[in-house]
Amino acid sequence: MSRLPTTSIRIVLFALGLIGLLIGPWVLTLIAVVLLSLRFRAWEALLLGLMTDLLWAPSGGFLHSFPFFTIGAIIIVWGLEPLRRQLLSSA
Amino acid sequence: MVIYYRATVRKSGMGRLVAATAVVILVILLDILSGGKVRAEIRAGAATLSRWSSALGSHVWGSGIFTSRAALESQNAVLAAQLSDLSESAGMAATLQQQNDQLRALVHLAAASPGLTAPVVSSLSASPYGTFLIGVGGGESVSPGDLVLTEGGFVIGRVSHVGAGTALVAEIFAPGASQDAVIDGTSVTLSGSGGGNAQTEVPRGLVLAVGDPVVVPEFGQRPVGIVGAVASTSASASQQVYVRLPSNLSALQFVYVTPPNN
Repeated sequence: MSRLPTTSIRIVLFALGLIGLLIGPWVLTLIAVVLLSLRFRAWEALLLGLMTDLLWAPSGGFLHSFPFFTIGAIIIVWGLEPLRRQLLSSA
Repeated sequence: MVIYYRATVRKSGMGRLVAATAVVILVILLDILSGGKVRAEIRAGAATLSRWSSALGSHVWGSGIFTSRAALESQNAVLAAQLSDLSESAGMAATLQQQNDQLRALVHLAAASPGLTAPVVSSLSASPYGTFLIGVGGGESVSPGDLVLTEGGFVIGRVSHVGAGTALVAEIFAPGASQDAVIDGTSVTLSGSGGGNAQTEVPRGLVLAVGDPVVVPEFGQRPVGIVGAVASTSASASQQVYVRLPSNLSALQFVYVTPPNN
């Protein structure tokens, strides 16, 4: 019973992130990544980070083309794992 | 116990997350090693998606669902565009006057810059890096480093990456970017704030007025903005200068792309 709402929430948050990615503002994508990572082991958050960098990161020197969003998404997703583990185990 | 643990891990999606992390890192590495070929493909797809979503948005907007709101917003947009045009014209006039004084001493005639007009095919607020996509690419002889100008001749960015049918433009005033410029004969370093805005500090003794043009020698003395505001306190030895683009960056539909040496 609780499977459907969980999946729906993930889809809605991912869609929100995609809207921020394509239409803007980019903060929407960031919010989606954080919210997804807070509750789920969300590979979608990593995908949003990757897409942001592939779409918008400028080329040039190392600092210019550094994939901040991808690395940020990886840090957020894995950094929130202890908190998520508490949430998931208590749920 | 071990079997139970493995089953729980598999069930809870940890394995998928590990795999996704590995794939993401692999894609980034592939993109770096291939010289940006992965991102060029993604951008071409995103430009098409952006065009479709824009067309869909116009269709829904024009269907009459939001009639009263649409009418007000349309009027608002027209008035804002008029104000923006007037502001840009005034900024351009000041720039031209200053350039005219310098050019009077020279007898050279400025040749028209060769270039091409390009549509803006992405939202200017979607990128956290201060970048946007234009609908011309390598097929139209656009190359990295080309200048991107507004209709009024203000430089707003440089081409950063070129794909087959699209190019990524990095804004001059992207958040965190710095650009050497000249305001009223004084060299300054502008710090970009995004959205066509930048700021810098100049000595308090320097007299600057709102509307003074800001030019960049590196771009052939082309303007990049005008002084939008000057703030100073009696306790400080310097004054804060806020530079802005006269036109509304998010309302841009077309830009002009020209090689930097013209």
